[in-house]
Amino acid sequence: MHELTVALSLLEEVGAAAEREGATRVATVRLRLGAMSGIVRDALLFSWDLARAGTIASEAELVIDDVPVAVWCPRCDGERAVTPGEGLICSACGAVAPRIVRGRELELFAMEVA
Amino acid sequence: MKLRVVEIQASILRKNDALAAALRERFSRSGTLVVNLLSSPGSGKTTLLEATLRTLGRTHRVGALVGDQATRNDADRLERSGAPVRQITTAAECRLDADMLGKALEGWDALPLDVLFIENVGNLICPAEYDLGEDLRVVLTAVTEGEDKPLKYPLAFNTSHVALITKTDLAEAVGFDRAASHDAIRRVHPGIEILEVACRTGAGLDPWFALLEARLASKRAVPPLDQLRVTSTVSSS
Repeated sequence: MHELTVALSLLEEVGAAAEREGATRVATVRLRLGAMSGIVRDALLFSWDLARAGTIASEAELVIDDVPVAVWCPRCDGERAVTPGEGLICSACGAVAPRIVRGRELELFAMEVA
Repeated sequence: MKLRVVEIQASILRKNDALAAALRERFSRSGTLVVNLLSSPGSGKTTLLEATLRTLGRTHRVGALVGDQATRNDADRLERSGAPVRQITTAAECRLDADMLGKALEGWDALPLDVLFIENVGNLICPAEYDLGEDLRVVLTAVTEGEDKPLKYPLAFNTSHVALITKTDLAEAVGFDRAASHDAIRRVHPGIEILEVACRTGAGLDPWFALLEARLASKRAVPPLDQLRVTSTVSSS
């Protein structure tokens, strides 16, 4: 549980980007959150509400895009999903696919400013 | 006022990754092997370290940084091995990060070390996300935890170089299924090195020590990054 730390880092990035853009207000912040990022969505939203007070993003809504885990399957030669709790196993052909290509994201990718 | 959309690309772990890269370069220059130990609470990180510091400490300069949310109990235990130890008390934080590590290294008279062990906070989720500039990430799982920890926490096992199955002296008493355990580990990381140890009896520790010695030797066989850069500048002029 380091969601509050993540919320604070997020606000730091938002503040820097807002300053670069000459913004006076941030309305929305959009984040990609991987299912394997170790971050709990609801805990992050809760932390966001606490952490944003007194910043340029004090009224900004945090919009989270969930990213499911995807692995590179060597047998299918393509990106495939995995079934949680079964290891990193290709859901299509059952091969072990240890290369995680998506699902670890914790990335700020856009914001709406005024 | 009209709103406009600004596109940005910022990983929230970027700052940690940059600090970890700086630590990695620093340890490359000092020829220090850095080992990050991950596990759930109670898997035997401290017990493994006690034995490791004691044995490796006879021939090498070894030390440990110990992360815990509260108490110095683990640091106190490790200090009895005679090796230099520093405690990092993380309070609410559930993992160590590169910034905490950098601060803990400041003014430490034990440096430079041959091998620096980092005992991470007992947690299999959050520490897996944080690079500490380590050479070797080692995940521990005790036979008393059952066989399916890798399936529940795939990233910790996927990002580690070595998996240590600990407390094997208790395997029979708890009905540990060794094949199932190995299979679960290989389902998230087929190429990982698996070792089995029982720190209380000493069984399996020699291969662990040998692995550390080999890793230290191979790290020292490669010139530090900045020396490689100097060489390439000379050859291109």
